[in-house]
Amino acid sequence: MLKLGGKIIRIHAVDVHRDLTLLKVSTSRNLPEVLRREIAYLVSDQEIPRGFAHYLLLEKHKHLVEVLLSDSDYSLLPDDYSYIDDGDIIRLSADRQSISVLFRASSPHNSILVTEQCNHYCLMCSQPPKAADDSWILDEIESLIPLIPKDTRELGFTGGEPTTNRERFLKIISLTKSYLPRTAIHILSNGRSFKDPAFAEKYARIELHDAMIGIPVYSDDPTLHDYIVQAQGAFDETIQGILNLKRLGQKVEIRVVIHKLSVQRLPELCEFIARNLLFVDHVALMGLEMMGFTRANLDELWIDPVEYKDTLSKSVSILARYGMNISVYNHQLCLVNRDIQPYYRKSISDWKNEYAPECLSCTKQSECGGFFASGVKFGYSKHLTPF
Amino acid sequence: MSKFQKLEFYAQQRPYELLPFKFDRLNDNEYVITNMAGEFHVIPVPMLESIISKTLPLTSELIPTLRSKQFIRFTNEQAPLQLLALKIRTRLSRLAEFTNLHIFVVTLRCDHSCPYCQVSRQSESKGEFDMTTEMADKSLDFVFMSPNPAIKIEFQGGEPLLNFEMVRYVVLKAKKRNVKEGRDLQFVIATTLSLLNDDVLDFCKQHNIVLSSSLDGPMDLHNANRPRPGRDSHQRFEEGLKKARAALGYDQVSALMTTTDKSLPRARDIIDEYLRLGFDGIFLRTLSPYGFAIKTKKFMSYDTERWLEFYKEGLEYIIDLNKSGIRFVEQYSSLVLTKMLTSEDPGFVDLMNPAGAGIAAIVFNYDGSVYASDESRMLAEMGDQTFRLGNILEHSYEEIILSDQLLDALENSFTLSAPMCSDCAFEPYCGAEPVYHHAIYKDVVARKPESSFCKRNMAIFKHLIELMESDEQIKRIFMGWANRC
Amino acid sequence: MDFSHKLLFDERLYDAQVLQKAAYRSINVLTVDITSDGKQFVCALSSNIGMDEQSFLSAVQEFKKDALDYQLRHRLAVETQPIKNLILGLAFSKTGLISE
Repeated sequence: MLKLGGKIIRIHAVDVHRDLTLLKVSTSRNLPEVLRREIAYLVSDQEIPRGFAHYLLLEKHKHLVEVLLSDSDYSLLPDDYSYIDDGDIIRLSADRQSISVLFRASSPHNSILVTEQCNHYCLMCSQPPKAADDSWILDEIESLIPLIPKDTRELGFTGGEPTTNRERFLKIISLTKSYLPRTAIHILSNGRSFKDPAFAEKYARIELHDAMIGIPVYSDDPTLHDYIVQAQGAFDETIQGILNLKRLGQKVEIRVVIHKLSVQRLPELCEFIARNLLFVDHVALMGLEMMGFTRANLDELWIDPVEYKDTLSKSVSILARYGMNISVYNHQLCLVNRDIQPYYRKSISDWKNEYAPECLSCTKQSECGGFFASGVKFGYSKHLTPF
Repeated sequence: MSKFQKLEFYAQQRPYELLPFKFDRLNDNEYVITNMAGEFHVIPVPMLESIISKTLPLTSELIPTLRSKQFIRFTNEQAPLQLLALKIRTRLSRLAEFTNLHIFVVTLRCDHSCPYCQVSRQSESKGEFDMTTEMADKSLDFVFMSPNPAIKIEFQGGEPLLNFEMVRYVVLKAKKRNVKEGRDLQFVIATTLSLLNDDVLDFCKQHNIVLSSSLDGPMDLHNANRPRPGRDSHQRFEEGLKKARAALGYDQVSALMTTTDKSLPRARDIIDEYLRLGFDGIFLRTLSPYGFAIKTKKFMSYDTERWLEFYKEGLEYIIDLNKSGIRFVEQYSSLVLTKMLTSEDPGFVDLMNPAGAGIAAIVFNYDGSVYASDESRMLAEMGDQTFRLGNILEHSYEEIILSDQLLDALENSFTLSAPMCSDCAFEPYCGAEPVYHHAIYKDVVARKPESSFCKRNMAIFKHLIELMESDEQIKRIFMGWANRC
Repeated sequence: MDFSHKLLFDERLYDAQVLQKAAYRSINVLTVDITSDGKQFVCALSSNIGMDEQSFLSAVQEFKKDALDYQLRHRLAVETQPIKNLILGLAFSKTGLISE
């Protein structure tokens, strides 16, 4: 698992008042001087070009500090960060002596956290919401987007609920469209804001060329859905949001996290989706992530995937009969029936996925999505059967 | 204290509100309820009264399902209304497109002399029973007046291949006109395949013409149903099928069966014959009351009950085939299931409401008469001109399409206002079929309790629902049929 | 042989229209004369010509069930009429989405 942020060994800034914040990383020695002033150079050997805004050195290259000019700002990073590479974007904080890697050019799974605020409080939230004003994040995103490489294929926006501040959300999306016109956008939202036709319309009018909004629906029973997301009336608003988006021709994906509560009516939910929301572009059925609130509500949520194997097959077959686009995410290959294979995706982001000790002897590890690191750590099925 | 609220906190405290639905007894123990969009649910008899009287406890396990299928809602919930509206709108969207199927009867002459067919003529002389180019031109004017972006022209007979020159003429003329019109134009020839030759096949290939053929079952049954000189109808069919599939593509040739009293004991044989010849479905049809059938009382020679046995036996066999992994569809069930399990309307003339006559299809007869459906012209051949809408040489599009014959039939048979139909739980799946009812009962509505159409379809609807309720695997097979995937 | 049977329905509990509908539904087996004595509807059921006793008796039973059903349908239809109109209004408004 990759370490995406934390304390670093030392940030050395000649001018402590200079705001470092966001920096794009480069390994290119030949950048024009004018560009170097905005960019952090990743040191790899003795030959260090001059004039970069900042220099990054891994601990193993500590001795190269001597080679740097004395007026250079630099940071010493633990070797954990050796994955940082050309085109990545980082945030450095001198007063906290910390780094965050915000964008990794080599990853197909970059996503931007828009806010930690949310009008849901899902029992299994992996990113527990916070109430505090975090609009500084929005400011940062507005500076981040112009730094993202133009050839980025996909970019995600998550939260919290990214549409919490509706106007700023629209601004960020417009900005993304103008800086990254060819990038596919994926937005994770609970969809409730789009119940307001005027807001849905403003979003649609941005006319992103390739965008999908992923909206969770956990049950066809409104009460159960509202309970899972801990918000009264949520189901009714989410459904209306989906309808508004589809009316405006926007792409929508329905995301279902499978746990002990949602699995109770999973086939019924799939039938509901097929009968009522046939026009959504994709349905994702996802395994539970052992992070955030899930661990607090484990008794209520945990079910060994082996127990719902057949329910999952049945649910998927309903959606398939209606010709829907289906993906099964976050499941281990040995815990799903064979009929799931056409829809099985290795989806867990590369910085999250790992395998359990049982998996060592498995011959199909390369085809398997494995686990969230949190899963290996905090509990997983007792029924893994290596191929 | 937990930051999380309990499930009870989100449960509704106030009584629910009823959404519009209909119900009927499915059997002695159960009711089936259907909502405005045709979603159904089966409930035990004693539950119905408590649902409607709202004495159902809020903890009842039925409540989530009734909400999910939009039979009830709680105050202020908007999503159920919007979803219902959307599904109704989707179903009716077909109506807005108007006529799609245009049938050209290019000749009445035929090389077969099937006892149940009224319309065909054995005459060899050209002219008397053939469509003229003038009629074809006028009919094409009419075709392109339809607002539907998709237009299907089907050639029927008699045996249309006996007047292939006219088929050729209409196809070329229609394609020429379509350069400007830009419609999605399709052609079908309904033929026994007995007179198929390379010339015909080349033309079909060149113009993407689909062949719709007839297969009644194994050789002995097929040949008994379809006499022709040489008694080789089945042999010619099989040869023609091979040639046509090779020339046009495997899926470009379909087959329809006609059920006669001889077919009734042989459901499996017939299906096996379809399997042997590589078809992936069969339409277990009722014997139509038109043509000789009514006159010769052949139609009365077996009753609806007997036909239902035949249908159920065939369906059971087909379901078993599916369970063992063979994809094979019973097409009438599949049409009904599309209405039961989706918001699509398959647009099948018998099961449309308002009636499909004139709306879904229109017929241009060899003599210039225009009819509201294929059945209407059969009726006319028997001397009943009720559904003759006019003559293509004498009347304008408006005169024909707004003729009293058509509008009265549509309006009077509309099931949402017909006695018994308007309260029927199966109404969303059924059709008005004024032509049928007129043929048998001399009344476009007919008394439904006495109608074999009503009896047969009601039995089919109930049977399909009971099958789905009794076996989840069947339900999923049916979902596939309903969605043609 | 002809068979007949008389049934009474309390006018406070049943609508005339409901009994008519039940009568219509059984038209293929029996005919029903409906009269009122001011408090009750009197339904005189008589079998169609050529009907056997067993069919007639089960049709009478069906008629009773149908009367109950139609009364319930009537209640349901009256109660849901306003919301039905609302849904149809939504269905025919210009929202532009169809579920395909």
